[in-house]
Parts: sequence; C-alpha cells; structure tokens
Amino acid sequence: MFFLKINKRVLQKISPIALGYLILGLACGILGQKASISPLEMFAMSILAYAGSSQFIGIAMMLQGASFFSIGLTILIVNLRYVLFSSTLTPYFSKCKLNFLALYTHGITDETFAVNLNSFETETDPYWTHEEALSLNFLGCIVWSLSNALGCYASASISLNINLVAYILTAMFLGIWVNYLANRTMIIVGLSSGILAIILEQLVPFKLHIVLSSVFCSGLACYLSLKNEGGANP
Amino acid sequence: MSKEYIWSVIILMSIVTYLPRALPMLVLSHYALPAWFTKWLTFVPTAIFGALVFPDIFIMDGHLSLAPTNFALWTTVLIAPLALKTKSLGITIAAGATVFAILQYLI
Repeated sequence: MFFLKINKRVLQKISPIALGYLILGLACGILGQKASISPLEMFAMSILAYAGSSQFIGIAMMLQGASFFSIGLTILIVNLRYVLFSSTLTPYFSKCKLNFLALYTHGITDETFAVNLNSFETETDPYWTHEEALSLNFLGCIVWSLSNALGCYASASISLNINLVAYILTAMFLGIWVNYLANRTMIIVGLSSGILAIILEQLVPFKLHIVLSSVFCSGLACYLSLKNEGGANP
Repeated sequence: MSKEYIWSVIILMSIVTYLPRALPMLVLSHYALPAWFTKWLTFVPTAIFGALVFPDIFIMDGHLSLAPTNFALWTTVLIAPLALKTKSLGITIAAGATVFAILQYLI
C-alpha cells in the first residue's frame, strides 16, 4: 500500500504501544466473549472503532442491554477528547489530501496521537513523514484488533489480573504525559488539570471530567499567556 | 445477545468514534488557524493526560483514596522519577507493571 512506510523508527516507536495494546486487547476480548460476541465480531469492532475505553464501556453497556441511544451518546462523549487531538494534529497535515486525512484520522488514539505529535516535533533528520504517522496508527490498529480477537477466542485459557491490566493503561498515559511536562508552565497546567479532573469526576457523568477539565485548564493557560505577551509587547 | 444487536452496536460505535477524530481535521485543514487557537492547542496534551492519569491513581472504587492498598497511586509515586527522567513509554509501562505486581504480592 503506497500510503504506508514501515521502517525501523516506526517499529521502535510502536513497540511499547503494541505491548500495551496486546495486554489491554486480550482483556477487552475476554470481556467481549462474556457478552457472547464472536472473535470475528470482536475483530471487526476493533478495526472499525479502534478505541480502548470506548470498547470496554460499549461492551459493558451491551451486557446491561442498554439502548442504542445511550450507548452511542456515552461513547461519543467519552471520545470528545479526540476532537482536541484531531485539532492539535491539524497544523502538521495542512498539505494533505482529504482521502489521506479520512484514513489517517481513523487511527488517532491517545497513544498514537501522542507519539505522532512528539515525532513531528522532534524527528528532524529526516523529518517524520505522514506515511510513517499513518503506519504507526495502522500497526497499532492491527495489534489491537488481533489481540481483541485472540482474547475473545481463547478467553477460557487466558487469566489476567484485572487490576494490573487497568494499571498498564494508566502507565501508558503516564509514560506519554511525562513527555509534555517540559517546563514550569506545562507542569502547572498538567497538574491543575489532573486535580480539577479528580473533583469533576465526582460531579459529572459519562467521563465528561476529562474533556471539561482539560479544556478549562488549557484555555485558562492560553488566556493568561496571551495576556502576558500582550502586556510585555503591546 | 442477538447478532443484529451486536452488529448494530459495532456500526454505531464505529460512527461515534470516527466523527470526533475525523471532523476537526477534515474541516480545520482548509483554514489558516488563528494564532490564539494554535497557542491554546499547545497546552492541550499536558492537560488531557493529567486529567486521564490523576483520577486513575487517586480515585479507587469511586472515592479519593490515599490508602496503602491504592496500588495504582503508590506505584505511580515510585516510578514517577524514572518516568520523568527517561521519558520513555516502554520503560514506564515495564516499570509500572513490575512495581504494581510486586506491591500486590507484598501487601
């Protein structure tokens, strides 16, 4: 496929993500089997939706026999942060054709977003290409989908420590987050958003605390920094 | 669970996960983004991942917990220096899983 370019640095960057996806995917597949989803359906869901927490939440709601409306709305809200990810990546894709973007954006996850953004910023010799970024998304999706199908197929013979699996996702978020704590401002924004999210988590439904807290804290930081620039350089 | 229900949910999930990912870039890539907007976006990742990590580690079973049995919190405290120093996703995952498993075994 001519949109893809799989090389050493793509493989290096995807490996830690793939390890995490393998374990989380197995866990998700096992949950799917409990909802009497077949391995093929699990594979299709993972290829098409390619979303970790959304699939866990969606399957849990299926087990409760939830309506389409409540499943759709909940997952849409859980995924609102992708609006921010997609917007954040836009400046790096300004010269791309729509069909490429339609394909690329399908593969935006918390992890692929962060690693691609970081690579666009730091890989300069040679520059990180759109084809490499797409390949990273693609490889992640393949690993995620295969491990979902495998977890579903072999659920009887796999036993996972659920708390440990949950923490591996947290560790992935942590491993990504530390890359953004580059200076004092970023540390303050990140910590305050974390604290606000804990408070909001107790108050708002549908995991809305993630997007509310991050929009508020990043917005406030932007407002303050633009105000400071304006004051220093009228 | 009926096959119709499962496939309908799969299609529904595909749509509601795709739209928030695709629409912003498909729309915004046609426009020159204003300076305040790109400035704002520079603060977004640190804020989002903070909002993902903190509730994960401080909230256990629906409540704020600083208990010794909140392994997620204490594992994070223990591996944070390593994560901050190496800034490596692979090392953070490996160290996190190891320390978490050890704490679970010991306590």
